[in-house]
Amino acid sequence: MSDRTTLGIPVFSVAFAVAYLLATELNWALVTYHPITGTWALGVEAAKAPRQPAMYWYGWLLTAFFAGAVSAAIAVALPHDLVGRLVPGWVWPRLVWGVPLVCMLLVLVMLRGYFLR
Amino acid sequence: MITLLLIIHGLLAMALVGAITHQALAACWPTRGSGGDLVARFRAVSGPVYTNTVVVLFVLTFVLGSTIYPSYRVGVRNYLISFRLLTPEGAFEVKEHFAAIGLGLLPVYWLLWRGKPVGWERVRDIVTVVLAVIVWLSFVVGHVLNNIRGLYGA
Repeated sequence: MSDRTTLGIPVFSVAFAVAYLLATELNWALVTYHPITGTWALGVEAAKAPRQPAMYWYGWLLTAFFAGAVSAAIAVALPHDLVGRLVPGWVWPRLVWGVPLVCMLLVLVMLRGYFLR
Repeated sequence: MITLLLIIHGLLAMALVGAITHQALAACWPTRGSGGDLVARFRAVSGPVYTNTVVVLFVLTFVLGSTIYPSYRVGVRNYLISFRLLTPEGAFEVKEHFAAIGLGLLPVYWLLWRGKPVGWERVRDIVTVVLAVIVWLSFVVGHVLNNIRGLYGA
């Protein structure tokens, strides 16, 4: 895990999970899909009619992908000792599984209205 | 066409459940030797062998699910809303978000299994279990929603 290239992959996964959660909560969708008309739009576009829903999920995925890729690229480009000072080595193993797990728990909290009523 | 894709999506998901369950059990509850009863043999498989299969199956299942998702959104979801079936509707929302987080975990999952990192074995096992939970939950929720009319009798 000391290799710079392999550092980028855990960073991607951690950043992807955080960015996806933020994208869903704040609706940061890079694209919108209108399933009734089968058309795409750049960015967030509201539903065109009450019975014509707009789908943001694809846009949230794209947002998370780009955020993960950019974060990984920055982590790889930064000097190795600086990365080590920003995030100590013992933290990484916990971040890799802890952050996605916390994001999953937060998803459950966000959607609790469906189950608690 | 959508029905055919849905069936293929389900079959791929079933294969994925099998592969990730084998790997997760072998990682967390390993057994020495290949003999013994069915459970022991189930646990005795070689974990790394499943890695590429899990990645490919996960991506294929995800892509197919994404392809048929608009049909759910337009047809099935409106049906759920009409009959106020909030729990199944919420379960699908959980599934779509968990599956997305699982997709983001795939690169590090692959690295942890194929790179053989020293000292990261526990992380590898936890990531595998998290992926297995995501896959199982998605499979069960998808299966229930696929049979929603029969299950809820509406």
